[in-house]
Amino acid sequence: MRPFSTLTDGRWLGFLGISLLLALLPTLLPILVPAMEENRFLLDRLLTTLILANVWAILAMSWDILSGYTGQISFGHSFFFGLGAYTAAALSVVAGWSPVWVIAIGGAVAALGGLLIAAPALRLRGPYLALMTLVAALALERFMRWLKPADAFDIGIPGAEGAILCIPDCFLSHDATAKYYYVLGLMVLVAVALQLLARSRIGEIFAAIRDDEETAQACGVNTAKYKALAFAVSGFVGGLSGAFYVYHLGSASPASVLNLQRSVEAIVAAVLGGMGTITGPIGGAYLLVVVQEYLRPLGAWRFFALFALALLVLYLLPRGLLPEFARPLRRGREWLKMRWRARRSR
Amino acid sequence: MSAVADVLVLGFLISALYALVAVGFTMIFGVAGVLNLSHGALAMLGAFVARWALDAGWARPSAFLVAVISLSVLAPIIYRVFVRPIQDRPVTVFLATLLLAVLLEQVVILISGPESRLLPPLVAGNLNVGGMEISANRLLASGVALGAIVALWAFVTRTRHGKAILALSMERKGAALVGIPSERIVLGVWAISGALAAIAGLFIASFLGISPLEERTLLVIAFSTVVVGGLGSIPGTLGAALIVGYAETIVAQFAPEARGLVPLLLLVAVLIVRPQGLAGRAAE
Repeated sequence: MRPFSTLTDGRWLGFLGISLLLALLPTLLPILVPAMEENRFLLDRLLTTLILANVWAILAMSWDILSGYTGQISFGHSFFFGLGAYTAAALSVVAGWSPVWVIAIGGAVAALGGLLIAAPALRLRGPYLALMTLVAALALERFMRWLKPADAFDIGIPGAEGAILCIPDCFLSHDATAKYYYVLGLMVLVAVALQLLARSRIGEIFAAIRDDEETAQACGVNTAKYKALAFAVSGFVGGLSGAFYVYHLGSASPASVLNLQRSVEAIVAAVLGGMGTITGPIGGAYLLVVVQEYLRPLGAWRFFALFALALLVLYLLPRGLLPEFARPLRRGREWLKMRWRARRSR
Repeated sequence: MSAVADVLVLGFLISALYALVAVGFTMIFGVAGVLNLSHGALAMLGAFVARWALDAGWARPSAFLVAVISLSVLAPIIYRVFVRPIQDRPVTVFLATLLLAVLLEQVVILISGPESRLLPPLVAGNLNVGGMEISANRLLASGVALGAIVALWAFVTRTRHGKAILALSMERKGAALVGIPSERIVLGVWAISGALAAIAGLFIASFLGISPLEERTLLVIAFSTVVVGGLGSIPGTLGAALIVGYAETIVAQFAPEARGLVPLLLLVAVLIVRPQGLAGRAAE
């Protein structure tokens, strides 16, 4: 009920601590690891991997607020991702606007897309809703392919053949460190905003809709309104991640931004980290991307291992990995608190 | 005139194939109330089992037979291990079967790589139908699809076991009260569904070839056909397969650039106008 009182909660402290650590990484690592000082490539590779991890983290949180938190299962999050991506590509290449505005507008367009899906989706439940989201993603993909049969590394917008985003100059072009800070800031901002939303009255209503929609209605909640809101918020956040991703990639094509794989990855990250926890999916996304990038020698085995792990988590730890990891920490904190109180009362 | 004839025949062939992909999917929902999102993966796996058997030097009929049999064994195992423990939680079933599908994709990629593989046709040669040359394999596919569906319908409405399936799909508790062994029936339905998925996979791989990741297309076909027809309704699924199949053929014939888009828009229209599908029971 009082969202800001939770700011002193241990989970927040942990989250802010980890964010701070991630923010200091580009400065600290060359000092701590001599190899990275000598070989700039190693650090850039790590930063590129973490940039991707943050993109997927934002997308996974976007899935989580709609599907994990509000219970409206989406199989088509590439729809939001792709809407944001194409909006950003168009505004950046055709209109030449600054990335700061472009990414925000990408999110806004995807939020409108969310409302567009929400309109029919409000009447639909369970499998029908999931199919509706899947169909929206597929339809947008086919539409973009139809608009312009793009190559893998070409912007799929008529009139922008061969263009690369952010050329000749903008701060999101080649500097991995700048991109890293930008996307990390975006990720932290989204995580804090979604946590505050989740712990507000609106968040309680979202959870009530997930747990029992009829009961929520019987309590006088206009569930349609709140479901539409969840779609819009989720669309906005998903659009942000897609819009940033085209700057990272330098192009947008159906194969890169509208691939169903994006939706699957968002779901896997959320299940791994913990559905309905907002911060859990961040951990899931980091695990997903780091395994994908750094265990390349394992080939398909790494995907097998990730999906098998996600399946195991779904059965054995349905609340996700992060709450399980956080439990001993929380216990330790409680113990310290008790000691502290005992000492003071003495 | 000939364009119309083309559309009529091709549309029918495609519709029959869609029905074959979808009917096993709808049976499981009708009887067990479970949406098995690994259905497309099972069809893909069926095609690959046949491919592996052929690569190992097996004769064509035995390779195809082994694919169908192994999938009809695997599907009930999937039910027992993965679905039964969680079947009262639809969201978990959704996510679990989806994860299982992408896991099966990776298993196949680990065994024989991500490339698309082609199966030889089940029967060779062409037949002349009303002045049109149609491959015998395609005709066989629609024949098998129709045969399978008619047999299924006859089985469900005419035989003792079939009636038990029907009873179970109507009222679980009632069926249990009159002594229908629901567990065994559900296992049987999963076995039939697995076999149908394998047959669909075999035919599709013999027309177009199939890659491990392409099972998602099959899943989308099954999912959309079944939802348009109404979840759990076999006649509805047939009608929907005809609608989706013909819509796609007509669009491919007269506006090929919009191919693939129109069936999806049709699907959206059905979802909006009649969310429970053409012949479906209202969603719970």
